[in-house]
Amino acid sequence: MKLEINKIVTLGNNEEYLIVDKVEKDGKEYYYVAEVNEDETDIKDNYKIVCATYKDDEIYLDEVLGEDKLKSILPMFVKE
Amino acid sequence: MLNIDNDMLKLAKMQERLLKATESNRENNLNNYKKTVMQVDSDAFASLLEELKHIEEHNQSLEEELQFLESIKSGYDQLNELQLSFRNVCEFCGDYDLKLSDLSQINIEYVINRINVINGYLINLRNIEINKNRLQDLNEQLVVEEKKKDYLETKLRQLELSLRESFLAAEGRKIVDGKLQYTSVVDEYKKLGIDISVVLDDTELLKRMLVDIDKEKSEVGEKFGTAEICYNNFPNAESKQILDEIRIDFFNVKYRLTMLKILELLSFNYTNYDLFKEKREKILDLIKYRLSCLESLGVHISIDPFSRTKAREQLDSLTSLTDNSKIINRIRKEISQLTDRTEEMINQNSNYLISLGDTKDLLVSKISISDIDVSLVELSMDRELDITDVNTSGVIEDNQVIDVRVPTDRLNMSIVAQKTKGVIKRVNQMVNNYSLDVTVKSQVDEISPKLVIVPNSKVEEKNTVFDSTTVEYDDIFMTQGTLETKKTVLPGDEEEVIEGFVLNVNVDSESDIFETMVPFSEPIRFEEKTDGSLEQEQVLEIGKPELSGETEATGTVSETIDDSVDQMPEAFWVTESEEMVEEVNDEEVLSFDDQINMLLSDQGNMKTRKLEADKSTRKAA
Repeated sequence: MKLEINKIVTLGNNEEYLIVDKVEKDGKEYYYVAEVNEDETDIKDNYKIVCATYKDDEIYLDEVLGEDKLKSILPMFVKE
Repeated sequence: MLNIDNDMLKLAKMQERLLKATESNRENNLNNYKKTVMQVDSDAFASLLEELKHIEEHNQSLEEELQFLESIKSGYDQLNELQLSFRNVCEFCGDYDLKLSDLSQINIEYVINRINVINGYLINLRNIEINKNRLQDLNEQLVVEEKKKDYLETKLRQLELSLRESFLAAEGRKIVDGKLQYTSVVDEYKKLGIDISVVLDDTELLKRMLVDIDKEKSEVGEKFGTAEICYNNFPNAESKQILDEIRIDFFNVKYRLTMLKILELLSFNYTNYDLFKEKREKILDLIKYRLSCLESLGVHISIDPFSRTKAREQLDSLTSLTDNSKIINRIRKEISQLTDRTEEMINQNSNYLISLGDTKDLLVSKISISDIDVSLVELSMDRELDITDVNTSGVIEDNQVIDVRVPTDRLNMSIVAQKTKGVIKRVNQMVNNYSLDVTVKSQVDEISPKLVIVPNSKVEEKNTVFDSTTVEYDDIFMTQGTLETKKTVLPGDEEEVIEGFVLNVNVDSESDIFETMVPFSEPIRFEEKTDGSLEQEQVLEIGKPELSGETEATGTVSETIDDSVDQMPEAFWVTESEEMVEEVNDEEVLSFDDQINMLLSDQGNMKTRKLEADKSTRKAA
């Protein structure tokens, strides 16, 4: 499995997210994702910045929380 | 093992001394100190968490796990003390805001409890083993002592038999009328009318004889007492003679009683050491008393056959036999106590085992410690160490990616791109306390036909001032057009507003139209130049539900906005920068979703205010 932009990831809780964008910082991968609706016809109003963690050939996505983190990550996603 | 950067720690100590030594440049020095200690703390905490991840490598045995947990506990305590000292220094300098690692992420209560349980179990296990070994030794001792006791009893039985035989066979000599005469124990009893071989085996007969002789002794004793009193009161030859006769009878009775008591003792066979010994001592005393009785009766014994019995010899030989009864009792008592204590410890260990073997608790606790990913902790330091964060092997976590695939054709990527494009920038601005310069004005003298916003994917211009084409911007679609009324707009500020709006509306979809436009800033007023009769105010309002705008009688403007307003990133629809600033609070950092949801609620409030302002404007007009 490889996380790529414009692909849909399915999480363990069965939520599906579309990968909208990706940046890397300090060796970590951050993804801008939007939740996909059940019919997979559109995205929901649920956007997240997540950090990918690789462990034992598994990928885990954890939402980036906290003002400081967001301040440092969000600008990287803003494309002029 | 807690990994502390000693160089950094030394530096911190130096900085601490500096802070305590001088107050000059205090702020700068304190900041430097805080940076240093935060680095030390951060590195140490990271090393501790890293160590926690490896618990699985250390739980092959309880001893290993105990050692590991004690190491964790030690590291935790060490870091806790360090943090305390760091905070003390900062508080000494009046700074109470030193942010250090959150040690509460480590479930130290579980660690301590587990250490106690494992310790208790292992100590009990060792003690149980020691007790078992001791019990085994004691049991072996007991077996040996029991054998000794059996041997002793056998020996005592043999001695009893030997004593009886020696009585039956004992011979002697007595002096009668100056001549030595043969005598024996059997003969002496025969003269008393007792067949010793019969009486020794007939205990009932012996008892009866003893009762009779006791009775006789009492009677004779009373007689003797009376005679003695008489003689003492009336001492004369007759009284003396009577007294002497009664005395002889009395001694005779005593002699016979003594002989029967010897027989009684001989009839008992003791295997008990003490009783055995006591029996012989009593026999020897009785034999001695018998002699005194015989002397009193005028019988002189040259060679006493009773002295040839083995009573004395056996009594002397008892010293070579050891009575181990006390040893056996002591061993048995110790075995009993040890058994009780061991059972207690075994029961206690059963409870420990329940705790240790409580699969759920143990597994959860172990995994919750082992599977904490340091990188995640760094990302979200305020998250509790939670069992939901654990990665049980074979268990899929909520945040685990289980599939990555290409979207189906049903997903319109262009729409998705429109929806998502401006969100990040908006949120970024929010997070950085970016405030839009939005003001709400009430224009009293304006006619305000309102823009009706209904859930629709497009904003349709009903006003003649707009073209009917559709403009897409960012994540909503809006009717695009140039305002033909541009040239007829009221002079002054209003015109600028309209122009700004027009400018924004005409921005293409790639230019973040909402980033620069000022939604809801002011009602847009313009005159409908085409018929020359209307002066209109257009108020753009957006809310989640379908909004039916109020249109004045003179107003003809009606617009429809994207029906997917619910799907829009509501962050766009913030109208008051102050409110946004409030939401981006340093103390309370909200998640992406939370921030947007709060903005959504603010948007509804804004709508209400706008409607009210509009009404009042029209009323005033």
